[in-house]
Amino acid sequence: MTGILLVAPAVAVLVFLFLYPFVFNVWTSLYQLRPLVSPERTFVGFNNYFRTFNDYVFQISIRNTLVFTLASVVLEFFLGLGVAFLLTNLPRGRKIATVLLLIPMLMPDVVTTLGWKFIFSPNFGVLNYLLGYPVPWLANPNFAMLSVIIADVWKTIPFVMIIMVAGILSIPKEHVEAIRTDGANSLQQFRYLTFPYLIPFILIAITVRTIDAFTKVYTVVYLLTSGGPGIATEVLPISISRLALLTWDWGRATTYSTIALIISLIFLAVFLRVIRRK
Amino acid sequence: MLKREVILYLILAAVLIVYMSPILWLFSQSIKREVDIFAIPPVWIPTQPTFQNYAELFDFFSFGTALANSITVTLTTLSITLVLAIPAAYGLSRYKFPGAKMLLLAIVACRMIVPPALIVPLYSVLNLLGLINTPIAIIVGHLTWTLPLGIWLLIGFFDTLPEDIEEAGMMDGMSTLELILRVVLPVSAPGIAVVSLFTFMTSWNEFMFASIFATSYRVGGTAIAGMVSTYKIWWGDIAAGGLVFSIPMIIVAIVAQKYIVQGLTYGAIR
Repeated sequence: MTGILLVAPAVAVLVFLFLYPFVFNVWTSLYQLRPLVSPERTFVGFNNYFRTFNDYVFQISIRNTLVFTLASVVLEFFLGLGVAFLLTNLPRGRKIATVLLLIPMLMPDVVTTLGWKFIFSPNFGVLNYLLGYPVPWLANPNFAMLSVIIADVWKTIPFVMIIMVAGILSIPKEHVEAIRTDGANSLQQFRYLTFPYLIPFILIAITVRTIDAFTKVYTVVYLLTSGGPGIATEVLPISISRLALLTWDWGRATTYSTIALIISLIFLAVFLRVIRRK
Repeated sequence: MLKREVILYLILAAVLIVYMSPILWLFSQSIKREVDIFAIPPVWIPTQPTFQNYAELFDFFSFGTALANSITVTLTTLSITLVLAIPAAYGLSRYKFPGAKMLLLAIVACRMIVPPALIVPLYSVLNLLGLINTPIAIIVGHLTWTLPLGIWLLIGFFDTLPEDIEEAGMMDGMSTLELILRVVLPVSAPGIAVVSLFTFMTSWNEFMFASIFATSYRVGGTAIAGMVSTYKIWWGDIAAGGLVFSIPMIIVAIVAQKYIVQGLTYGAIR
Protein backbone atom coordinates (compact mmCIF):
# COMPACT_ATOMS: atom_id res chain seq x y z
CA MET A 1 0.00 0.00 0.00
CA THR A 2 2.79 2.42 0.90
CA GLY A 3 4.42 1.60 -2.44
CA ILE A 4 1.28 2.57 -4.34
CA LEU A 5 0.96 5.83 -2.40
CA LEU A 6 4.56 6.76 -3.20
CA VAL A 7 4.15 6.01 -6.87
CA ALA A 8 0.68 7.53 -7.33
CA PRO A 9 1.55 11.23 -7.89
CA ALA A 10 4.15 10.46 -10.55
CA VAL A 11 1.84 7.96 -12.22
CA ALA A 12 -0.96 10.51 -12.35
CA VAL A 13 1.35 12.95 -14.16
CA LEU A 14 2.67 10.24 -16.50
CA VAL A 15 -0.90 9.28 -17.40
CA PHE A 16 -1.56 12.87 -18.41
CA LEU A 17 1.75 13.21 -20.27
CA PHE A 18 1.74 9.87 -22.11
CA LEU A 19 -1.36 7.70 -21.78
CA TYR A 20 -3.82 10.47 -22.54
CA PRO A 21 -1.85 11.56 -25.67
CA PHE A 22 -1.68 7.94 -26.81
CA VAL A 23 -5.45 7.52 -26.55
CA PHE A 24 -6.05 10.97 -28.06
CA ASN A 25 -3.83 10.13 -31.05
CA VAL A 26 -5.42 6.76 -31.78
CA TRP A 27 -8.92 8.17 -31.36
CA THR A 28 -8.40 11.34 -33.41
CA SER A 29 -6.63 9.46 -36.19
CA LEU A 30 -9.99 7.87 -37.03
CA TYR A 31 -11.51 11.28 -37.72
CA GLN A 32 -11.10 14.17 -40.04
CA LEU A 33 -10.42 17.17 -37.84
CA ARG A 34 -9.22 20.60 -38.89
CA PRO A 35 -9.55 22.75 -35.76
CA LEU A 36 -8.90 26.01 -37.62
CA VAL A 37 -11.75 25.34 -40.07
CA SER A 38 -14.29 23.89 -37.67
CA PRO A 39 -14.30 22.26 -34.25
CA GLU A 40 -16.38 19.38 -35.60
CA ARG A 41 -14.90 16.00 -36.32
CA THR A 42 -16.06 13.60 -39.02
CA PHE A 43 -15.56 9.88 -38.57
CA VAL A 44 -13.51 8.48 -41.46
CA GLY A 45 -12.44 5.07 -40.12
CA PHE A 46 -8.99 4.05 -41.30
CA ASN A 47 -9.02 6.46 -44.21
CA ASN A 48 -6.24 8.61 -42.72
CA TYR A 49 -4.03 5.53 -42.55
CA PHE A 50 -4.72 4.52 -46.19
CA ARG A 51 -3.98 8.07 -47.27
CA THR A 52 -0.81 8.22 -45.19
CA PHE A 53 0.65 4.95 -46.45
CA ASN A 54 0.01 6.02 -50.04
CA ASP A 55 1.41 9.47 -49.38
CA TYR A 56 4.72 10.09 -51.15
CA VAL A 57 5.83 12.61 -48.50
CA PHE A 58 5.24 10.07 -45.76
CA GLN A 59 7.28 7.43 -47.58
CA ILE A 60 10.14 9.86 -48.08
CA SER A 61 9.83 10.99 -44.47
CA ILE A 62 10.18 7.41 -43.18
CA ARG A 63 13.04 6.69 -45.58
CA ASN A 64 14.89 9.88 -44.57
CA THR A 65 14.39 9.17 -40.88
CA LEU A 66 15.91 5.70 -41.33
CA VAL A 67 18.79 6.95 -43.51
CA PHE A 68 19.58 9.68 -40.99
CA THR A 69 19.40 7.32 -38.01
CA LEU A 70 21.56 4.64 -39.59
CA ALA A 71 24.18 6.98 -41.04
CA SER A 72 24.63 9.12 -37.94
CA VAL A 73 24.69 6.22 -35.50
CA VAL A 74 27.29 4.31 -37.53
CA LEU A 75 29.50 7.37 -38.07
CA GLU A 76 29.38 8.69 -34.52
CA PHE A 77 29.97 5.21 -33.15
CA PHE A 78 33.22 4.63 -35.03
CA LEU A 79 34.46 8.19 -34.56
CA GLY A 80 33.56 8.15 -30.87
CA LEU A 81 35.24 4.78 -30.38
CA GLY A 82 38.38 6.03 -32.17
CA VAL A 83 38.61 9.11 -29.97
CA ALA A 84 38.03 6.96 -26.87
CA PHE A 85 41.00 4.75 -27.80
CA LEU A 86 43.11 7.83 -28.39
CA LEU A 87 42.16 9.27 -24.99
CA THR A 88 42.74 6.09 -23.02
CA ASN A 89 46.18 5.65 -24.59
CA LEU A 90 47.37 9.08 -23.49
CA PRO A 91 49.96 8.87 -20.71
CA ARG A 92 49.03 12.35 -19.47
CA GLY A 93 46.33 14.94 -20.06
CA ARG A 94 43.42 12.58 -20.58
CA LYS A 95 41.11 14.48 -18.22
CA ILE A 96 41.60 17.90 -19.75
CA ALA A 97 41.31 16.51 -23.31
CA THR A 98 38.09 14.73 -22.35
CA VAL A 99 36.56 17.92 -20.97
CA LEU A 100 37.44 19.86 -24.13
CA LEU A 101 36.01 17.15 -26.38
CA LEU A 102 32.79 17.09 -24.33
CA ILE A 103 32.00 20.74 -25.00
CA PRO A 104 30.03 20.26 -28.27
CA MET A 105 27.66 17.92 -26.44
CA LEU A 106 27.28 20.46 -23.64
CA MET A 107 26.20 23.33 -25.85
CA PRO A 108 22.48 23.80 -26.54
CA ASP A 109 21.34 22.25 -29.86
CA VAL A 110 20.04 25.59 -31.07
CA VAL A 111 23.47 27.16 -30.72
CA THR A 112 25.53 24.47 -32.44
CA THR A 113 22.97 23.96 -35.20
CA LEU A 114 22.86 27.65 -36.09
CA GLY A 115 26.67 27.69 -35.90
CA TRP A 116 26.74 24.94 -38.54
CA LYS A 117 24.15 26.77 -40.62
CA PHE A 118 26.59 29.65 -40.88
CA ILE A 119 29.54 27.39 -41.63
CA PHE A 120 27.54 25.70 -44.42
CA SER A 121 26.38 29.01 -45.88
CA PRO A 122 27.05 29.04 -49.67
CA ASN A 123 28.25 32.64 -50.03
CA PHE A 124 30.06 33.55 -46.84
CA GLY A 125 30.38 30.11 -45.25
CA VAL A 126 33.85 29.28 -44.06
CA LEU A 127 33.60 25.64 -45.17
CA ASN A 128 33.26 26.45 -48.86
CA TYR A 129 36.07 28.98 -48.54
CA LEU A 130 38.37 26.28 -47.14
CA LEU A 131 37.26 23.79 -49.80
CA GLY A 132 37.73 26.41 -52.50
CA TYR A 133 34.57 25.21 -54.21
CA PRO A 134 30.98 26.45 -53.83
CA VAL A 135 29.29 23.27 -52.54
CA PRO A 136 25.52 23.86 -52.20
CA TRP A 137 25.45 22.29 -48.73
CA LEU A 138 21.92 23.15 -47.71
CA ALA A 139 20.43 23.94 -51.14
CA ASN A 140 21.08 20.64 -52.90
CA PRO A 141 18.89 17.66 -51.91
CA ASN A 142 21.81 15.22 -51.64
CA PHE A 143 24.10 17.55 -49.75
CA ALA A 144 21.31 18.74 -47.43
CA MET A 145 20.98 15.31 -45.79
CA LEU A 146 24.76 15.05 -45.56
CA SER A 147 24.89 18.46 -43.84
CA VAL A 148 22.26 17.42 -41.30
CA ILE A 149 24.21 14.23 -40.59
CA ILE A 150 27.52 16.10 -40.20
CA ALA A 151 26.00 18.56 -37.72
CA ASP A 152 24.42 15.75 -35.73
CA VAL A 153 27.45 13.45 -35.71
CA TRP A 154 29.69 16.31 -34.60
CA LYS A 155 27.45 16.89 -31.61
CA THR A 156 26.98 13.27 -30.56
CA ILE A 157 30.54 11.93 -30.84
CA PRO A 158 31.22 12.89 -27.18
CA PHE A 159 28.32 10.73 -26.01
CA VAL A 160 29.79 7.59 -27.58
CA MET A 161 33.28 8.68 -26.56
CA ILE A 162 32.49 9.07 -22.86
CA ILE A 163 30.71 5.70 -22.64
CA MET A 164 33.55 3.95 -24.46
CA VAL A 165 36.19 5.59 -22.26
CA ALA A 166 34.29 4.27 -19.23
CA GLY A 167 34.21 0.84 -20.87
CA ILE A 168 37.90 0.74 -21.75
CA LEU A 169 38.88 1.95 -18.26
CA SER A 170 36.77 -0.80 -16.68
CA ILE A 171 39.09 -3.50 -18.09
CA PRO A 172 41.25 -4.75 -15.19
CA LYS A 173 44.93 -3.79 -15.62
CA GLU A 174 46.10 -7.31 -14.69
CA HIS A 175 44.26 -8.72 -17.70
CA VAL A 176 45.95 -6.26 -20.03
CA GLU A 177 49.37 -7.12 -18.59
CA ALA A 178 48.64 -10.83 -18.72
CA ILE A 179 47.66 -10.80 -22.38
CA ARG A 180 50.71 -8.65 -23.21
CA THR A 181 53.15 -11.01 -21.48
CA ASP A 182 51.49 -13.86 -23.39
CA GLY A 183 52.78 -12.07 -26.48
CA ALA A 184 49.51 -10.93 -28.02
CA ASN A 185 49.73 -8.13 -30.57
CA SER A 186 47.39 -5.11 -30.51
CA LEU A 187 44.89 -6.73 -32.85
CA GLN A 188 44.73 -9.91 -30.78
CA GLN A 189 44.44 -7.86 -27.61
CA PHE A 190 41.45 -6.04 -29.08
CA ARG A 191 39.84 -9.23 -30.36
CA TYR A 192 40.20 -11.34 -27.22
CA LEU A 193 40.24 -8.85 -24.37
CA THR A 194 39.06 -5.32 -25.16
CA PHE A 195 36.13 -6.16 -27.44
CA PRO A 196 34.46 -8.71 -25.15
CA TYR A 197 34.70 -6.22 -22.27
CA LEU A 198 33.24 -3.45 -24.39
CA ILE A 199 30.19 -5.36 -25.67
CA PRO A 200 27.74 -4.12 -22.98
CA PHE A 201 29.00 -0.54 -23.43
CA ILE A 202 28.69 -0.80 -27.21
CA LEU A 203 25.12 -2.07 -26.87
CA ILE A 204 24.19 0.85 -24.60
CA ALA A 205 25.78 3.46 -26.82
CA ILE A 206 24.15 2.11 -29.96
CA THR A 207 20.68 1.51 -28.49
CA VAL A 208 20.47 4.88 -26.76
CA ARG A 209 21.79 6.72 -29.81
CA THR A 210 19.46 4.88 -32.20
CA ILE A 211 16.41 5.81 -30.14
CA ASP A 212 17.60 9.40 -29.78
CA ALA A 213 18.48 9.80 -33.45
CA PHE A 214 15.12 8.40 -34.47
CA THR A 215 13.00 10.41 -32.06
CA LYS A 216 14.88 13.59 -31.29
CA VAL A 217 16.08 14.82 -34.65
CA TYR A 218 13.66 17.76 -34.64
CA THR A 219 15.90 20.69 -33.69
CA VAL A 220 18.82 20.04 -36.01
CA VAL A 221 16.63 19.49 -39.09
CA TYR A 222 14.19 22.27 -38.26
CA LEU A 223 16.87 24.92 -37.87
CA LEU A 224 19.19 23.72 -40.63
CA THR A 225 16.82 22.92 -43.49
CA SER A 226 13.23 22.77 -42.13
CA GLY A 227 12.95 19.51 -44.05
CA GLY A 228 14.03 21.04 -47.37
CA PRO A 229 15.05 21.67 -50.03
CA GLY A 230 11.68 20.32 -51.11
CA ILE A 231 11.30 17.25 -48.94
CA ALA A 232 14.94 16.15 -49.12
CA THR A 233 15.45 16.17 -45.35
CA GLU A 234 11.83 15.64 -44.33
CA VAL A 235 11.82 13.44 -41.21
CA LEU A 236 8.93 12.19 -39.06
CA PRO A 237 9.11 14.81 -36.27
CA ILE A 238 9.12 17.61 -38.85
CA SER A 239 6.16 16.10 -40.74
CA ILE A 240 4.16 15.77 -37.53
CA SER A 241 4.77 19.33 -36.37
CA ARG A 242 3.94 20.71 -39.82
CA LEU A 243 0.66 18.79 -40.08
CA ALA A 244 -0.20 19.73 -36.50
CA LEU A 245 0.41 23.46 -36.46
CA LEU A 246 1.00 24.66 -40.00
CA THR A 247 -1.66 22.86 -42.05
CA TRP A 248 -3.72 22.11 -38.92
CA ASP A 249 -4.78 18.74 -40.28
CA TRP A 250 -5.09 17.01 -36.91
CA GLY A 251 -6.62 13.83 -38.33
CA ARG A 252 -3.46 13.20 -40.30
CA ALA A 253 -1.08 14.64 -37.69
CA THR A 254 -2.43 12.13 -35.16
CA THR A 255 -2.19 9.36 -37.76
CA TYR A 256 1.52 10.13 -38.19
CA SER A 257 1.86 10.31 -34.41
CA THR A 258 0.18 6.95 -33.91
CA ILE A 259 2.49 5.36 -36.48
CA ALA A 260 5.49 6.98 -34.76
CA LEU A 261 4.28 5.63 -31.40
CA ILE A 262 3.95 2.14 -32.84
CA ILE A 263 7.50 2.35 -34.19
CA SER A 264 8.68 3.45 -30.70
CA LEU A 265 7.02 0.38 -29.23
CA ILE A 266 8.88 -1.81 -31.73
CA PHE A 267 12.10 -0.11 -30.61
CA LEU A 268 11.13 -0.85 -27.01
CA ALA A 269 10.69 -4.55 -27.79
CA VAL A 270 14.12 -4.66 -29.46
CA PHE A 271 15.72 -2.71 -26.61
CA LEU A 272 14.30 -5.07 -23.97
CA ARG A 273 15.54 -8.07 -25.92
CA VAL A 274 19.04 -6.57 -26.14
CA ILE A 275 19.05 -5.90 -22.39
CA ARG A 276 17.82 -9.38 -21.50
CA ARG A 277 20.37 -11.12 -23.67
CA LYS A 278 23.18 -9.61 -21.58
CA MET B 1 58.17 4.41 -26.87
CA LEU B 2 58.75 8.14 -26.84
CA LYS B 3 58.08 8.29 -30.57
CA ARG B 4 54.69 6.64 -30.02
CA GLU B 5 53.79 9.30 -27.47
CA VAL B 6 54.72 12.11 -29.83
CA ILE B 7 52.50 10.61 -32.53
CA LEU B 8 49.62 10.22 -30.06
CA TYR B 9 49.80 13.85 -29.00
CA LEU B 10 50.06 14.98 -32.63
CA ILE B 11 46.87 13.06 -33.43
CA LEU B 12 45.20 14.53 -30.35
CA ALA B 13 46.20 18.03 -31.41
CA ALA B 14 44.81 17.47 -34.91
CA VAL B 15 41.54 16.05 -33.52
CA LEU B 16 41.18 18.97 -31.11
CA ILE B 17 41.84 21.59 -33.79
CA VAL B 18 39.42 20.13 -36.33
CA TYR B 19 36.80 19.22 -33.77
CA MET B 20 36.81 22.42 -31.76
CA SER B 21 37.07 24.77 -34.73
CA PRO B 22 33.29 25.38 -35.07
CA ILE B 23 33.19 26.63 -31.48
CA LEU B 24 36.28 28.81 -31.86
CA TRP B 25 34.76 30.18 -35.05
CA LEU B 26 31.53 30.97 -33.21
CA PHE B 27 33.52 32.89 -30.61
CA SER B 28 35.46 34.76 -33.27
CA GLN B 29 32.20 35.70 -35.03
CA SER B 30 30.72 36.98 -31.80
CA ILE B 31 33.39 39.66 -31.31
CA LYS B 32 33.40 40.92 -34.91
CA ARG B 33 31.94 43.97 -36.56
CA GLU B 34 29.20 43.19 -39.07
CA VAL B 35 31.48 43.78 -42.11
CA ASP B 36 34.01 41.26 -40.84
CA ILE B 37 31.36 38.60 -40.12
CA PHE B 38 30.51 38.28 -43.80
CA ALA B 39 34.00 38.90 -45.16
CA ILE B 40 35.49 36.53 -47.74
CA PRO B 41 38.31 35.64 -47.27
CA PRO B 42 37.23 35.15 -43.66
CA VAL B 43 38.65 37.30 -40.90
CA TRP B 44 39.95 34.54 -38.64
CA ILE B 45 40.96 36.75 -35.76
CA PRO B 46 39.26 40.15 -35.70
CA THR B 47 41.74 43.04 -35.70
CA GLN B 48 39.21 45.31 -34.04
CA PRO B 49 37.36 43.12 -31.58
CA THR B 50 34.07 44.56 -30.38
CA PHE B 51 31.54 43.59 -27.77
CA GLN B 52 28.79 45.35 -29.64
CA ASN B 53 27.01 42.06 -30.42
CA TYR B 54 26.85 41.20 -26.75
CA ALA B 55 25.48 44.64 -25.89
CA GLU B 56 22.93 44.50 -28.72
CA LEU B 57 21.78 41.14 -27.45
CA PHE B 58 20.58 42.58 -24.18
CA ASP B 59 19.43 45.99 -25.45
CA PHE B 60 17.75 45.02 -28.69
CA PHE B 61 16.77 41.36 -28.28
CA SER B 62 16.01 41.58 -24.52
CA PHE B 63 18.08 38.45 -24.06
CA GLY B 64 18.15 39.08 -20.30
CA THR B 65 14.43 38.36 -20.09
CA ALA B 66 14.87 35.23 -22.18
CA LEU B 67 17.63 33.99 -19.87
CA ALA B 68 15.47 34.73 -16.81
CA ASN B 69 12.64 32.76 -18.45
CA SER B 70 15.02 29.87 -19.13
CA ILE B 71 16.01 29.87 -15.47
CA THR B 72 12.35 29.89 -14.36
CA VAL B 73 11.45 27.01 -16.68
CA THR B 74 14.53 24.94 -15.86
CA LEU B 75 14.31 25.31 -12.07
CA THR B 76 10.56 24.61 -12.01
CA THR B 77 11.00 21.54 -14.20
CA LEU B 78 13.83 20.40 -11.94
CA SER B 79 11.79 20.81 -8.73
CA ILE B 80 8.73 19.05 -10.10
CA THR B 81 10.85 16.22 -11.51
CA LEU B 82 12.59 15.63 -8.17
CA VAL B 83 9.43 15.89 -6.06
CA LEU B 84 7.64 13.34 -8.24
CA ALA B 85 10.54 11.07 -9.20
CA ILE B 86 12.15 10.50 -5.78
CA PRO B 87 9.13 8.93 -4.03
CA ALA B 88 8.09 7.06 -7.19
CA ALA B 89 11.54 5.56 -7.72
CA TYR B 90 11.83 4.72 -4.03
CA GLY B 91 8.43 3.05 -4.05
CA LEU B 92 9.29 1.01 -7.15
CA SER B 93 12.69 0.03 -5.81
CA ARG B 94 11.67 -0.96 -2.25
CA TYR B 95 8.04 -2.08 -2.32
CA LYS B 96 6.29 -4.88 -4.13
CA PHE B 97 2.75 -4.15 -5.24
CA PRO B 98 0.48 -5.44 -7.99
CA GLY B 99 1.29 -3.86 -11.33
CA ALA B 100 4.78 -2.72 -10.30
CA LYS B 101 6.44 -4.67 -13.12
CA MET B 102 4.04 -3.29 -15.71
CA LEU B 103 4.65 0.21 -14.40
CA LEU B 104 8.40 -0.20 -14.74
CA LEU B 105 7.95 -1.31 -18.33
CA ALA B 106 5.61 1.63 -18.98
CA ILE B 107 8.25 4.05 -17.67
CA VAL B 108 10.87 2.60 -20.01
CA ALA B 109 8.31 2.92 -22.83
CA CYS B 110 7.78 6.60 -21.97
CA ARG B 111 11.49 7.24 -22.44
CA MET B 112 11.34 5.88 -25.97
CA ILE B 113 8.37 7.80 -27.19
CA VAL B 114 8.79 10.10 -30.17
CA PRO B 115 8.24 13.50 -28.51
CA PRO B 116 6.58 15.10 -31.57
CA ALA B 117 3.82 12.49 -31.22
CA LEU B 118 2.82 14.35 -28.05
CA ILE B 119 2.49 17.75 -29.73
CA VAL B 120 -1.16 17.59 -30.85
CA PRO B 121 -2.64 15.98 -27.70
CA LEU B 122 -0.75 18.22 -25.27
CA TYR B 123 -1.35 21.32 -27.38
CA SER B 124 -5.09 20.70 -27.41
CA VAL B 125 -5.28 20.37 -23.60
CA LEU B 126 -2.96 23.31 -22.90
CA ASN B 127 -4.97 25.41 -25.33
CA LEU B 128 -8.23 24.43 -23.64
CA LEU B 129 -6.79 25.48 -20.28
CA GLY B 130 -5.51 28.75 -21.73
CA LEU B 131 -1.90 27.82 -20.94
CA ILE B 132 -0.36 28.20 -24.42
CA ASN B 133 2.31 30.92 -24.37
CA THR B 134 2.92 30.51 -20.66
CA PRO B 135 5.93 28.93 -18.95
CA ILE B 136 3.64 26.14 -17.72
CA ALA B 137 3.15 24.91 -21.29
CA ILE B 138 6.91 24.59 -21.77
CA ILE B 139 7.34 22.91 -18.38
CA VAL B 140 4.68 20.33 -19.25
CA GLY B 141 6.59 19.61 -22.45
CA HIS B 142 9.89 19.32 -20.58
CA LEU B 143 8.44 16.91 -18.01
CA THR B 144 7.78 14.43 -20.82
CA TRP B 145 11.57 14.15 -21.18
CA THR B 146 12.71 14.52 -17.59
CA LEU B 147 10.18 12.62 -15.48
CA PRO B 148 10.57 9.12 -17.01
CA LEU B 149 14.35 9.57 -17.20
CA GLY B 150 14.49 10.82 -13.59
CA ILE B 151 12.46 7.90 -12.23
CA TRP B 152 14.50 5.43 -14.26
CA LEU B 153 17.87 6.81 -13.12
CA LEU B 154 16.78 6.94 -9.48
CA ILE B 155 15.46 3.37 -9.47
CA GLY B 156 18.90 2.33 -10.68
CA PHE B 157 20.43 4.29 -7.82
CA PHE B 158 18.09 3.08 -5.03
CA ASP B 159 18.60 -0.52 -6.14
CA THR B 160 22.30 -0.17 -5.32
CA LEU B 161 21.63 1.17 -1.78
CA PRO B 162 21.82 -1.57 0.86
CA GLU B 163 18.46 -2.05 2.57
CA ASP B 164 19.85 -2.07 6.12
CA ILE B 165 20.32 1.71 6.09
CA GLU B 166 16.57 1.99 6.60
CA GLU B 167 16.38 -0.63 9.33
CA ALA B 168 17.68 1.63 12.11
CA GLY B 169 15.10 4.25 11.19
CA MET B 170 12.34 1.68 11.11
CA MET B 171 13.26 0.48 14.59
CA ASP B 172 12.99 4.07 15.82
CA GLY B 173 9.40 3.94 14.58
CA MET B 174 9.74 6.50 11.80
CA SER B 175 6.94 6.88 9.25
CA THR B 176 7.74 6.22 5.60
CA LEU B 177 7.86 9.93 4.88
CA GLU B 178 10.27 10.57 7.75
CA LEU B 179 12.33 7.61 6.63
CA ILE B 180 12.65 9.04 3.11
CA LEU B 181 13.38 12.59 4.26
CA ARG B 182 15.78 11.83 7.13
CA VAL B 183 17.46 8.56 6.19
CA VAL B 184 17.18 7.92 2.45
CA LEU B 185 17.65 11.43 1.04
CA PRO B 186 20.93 12.22 2.82
CA VAL B 187 22.61 9.10 1.42
CA SER B 188 21.04 9.61 -2.01
CA ALA B 189 22.87 12.84 -2.82
CA PRO B 190 24.89 11.31 -5.70
CA GLY B 191 21.78 9.83 -7.34
CA ILE B 192 19.88 13.08 -6.96
CA ALA B 193 22.86 14.95 -8.38
CA VAL B 194 22.81 12.76 -11.50
CA VAL B 195 19.08 13.34 -12.03
CA SER B 196 19.39 17.08 -11.37
CA LEU B 197 22.24 17.35 -13.86
CA PHE B 198 20.39 15.53 -16.64
CA THR B 199 17.15 17.38 -15.93
CA PHE B 200 18.93 20.72 -15.96
CA MET B 201 20.71 19.96 -19.23
CA THR B 202 17.55 18.66 -20.92
CA SER B 203 15.38 21.56 -19.87
CA TRP B 204 17.96 24.27 -20.60
CA ASN B 205 18.62 22.77 -24.03
CA GLU B 206 15.07 21.88 -25.07
CA PHE B 207 13.82 23.65 -28.17
CA MET B 208 10.89 21.81 -29.76
CA PHE B 209 8.22 22.25 -27.09
CA ALA B 210 9.47 25.73 -26.22
CA SER B 211 9.14 26.87 -29.82
CA ILE B 212 5.75 25.24 -30.42
CA PHE B 213 3.92 25.75 -27.11
CA ALA B 214 5.09 29.27 -26.33
CA THR B 215 5.92 31.50 -29.28
CA SER B 216 5.59 34.69 -27.26
CA TYR B 217 7.13 33.48 -23.98
CA ARG B 218 10.72 33.26 -25.16
CA VAL B 219 13.40 31.22 -23.44
CA GLY B 220 17.08 31.38 -24.38
CA GLY B 221 16.88 28.84 -27.21
CA THR B 222 13.79 30.28 -28.87
CA ALA B 223 15.14 33.81 -28.48
CA ILE B 224 18.29 32.82 -30.37
CA ALA B 225 16.30 31.01 -33.06
CA GLY B 226 14.20 34.18 -33.33
CA MET B 227 17.26 36.06 -34.57
CA VAL B 228 16.79 34.21 -37.86
CA SER B 229 14.12 36.15 -39.75
CA THR B 230 13.00 36.04 -43.36
CA TYR B 231 14.78 39.32 -44.06
CA LYS B 232 17.90 39.08 -42.00
CA ILE B 233 19.94 36.63 -40.00
CA TRP B 234 21.71 38.38 -37.12
CA TRP B 235 24.78 36.18 -37.12
CA GLY B 236 26.84 38.25 -34.73
CA ASP B 237 24.06 38.27 -32.16
CA ILE B 238 23.36 34.57 -32.67
CA ALA B 239 27.03 33.79 -32.00
CA ALA B 240 27.16 36.04 -28.94
CA GLY B 241 23.83 34.84 -27.57
CA GLY B 242 24.73 31.25 -28.28
CA LEU B 243 27.90 31.47 -26.24
CA VAL B 244 26.21 33.27 -23.34
CA PHE B 245 23.43 30.68 -23.40
CA SER B 246 25.96 27.80 -23.45
CA ILE B 247 27.97 28.93 -20.43
CA PRO B 248 25.63 27.70 -17.65
CA MET B 249 25.35 24.28 -19.27
CA ILE B 250 29.09 23.92 -19.79
CA ILE B 251 29.96 25.05 -16.26
CA VAL B 252 27.37 22.84 -14.57
CA ALA B 253 28.43 19.84 -16.65
CA ILE B 254 32.14 20.29 -16.05
CA VAL B 255 31.67 20.76 -12.31
CA ALA B 256 29.50 17.64 -12.21
CA GLN B 257 31.50 15.70 -14.79
CA LYS B 258 31.70 12.43 -12.87
CA TYR B 259 27.91 12.33 -12.63
CA ILE B 260 27.61 12.44 -16.42
CA VAL B 261 29.47 9.16 -16.75
CA GLN B 262 27.45 7.66 -13.91
CA GLY B 263 24.16 8.80 -15.38
CA LEU B 264 25.00 7.55 -18.85
CA THR B 265 26.13 4.19 -17.58
CA TYR B 266 23.85 3.24 -14.72
CA GLY B 267 20.84 4.54 -16.57
CA ALA B 268 21.40 1.85 -19.10
CA ILE B 269 23.50 -0.98 -17.67
CA ARG B 270 21.01 -2.92 -15.62
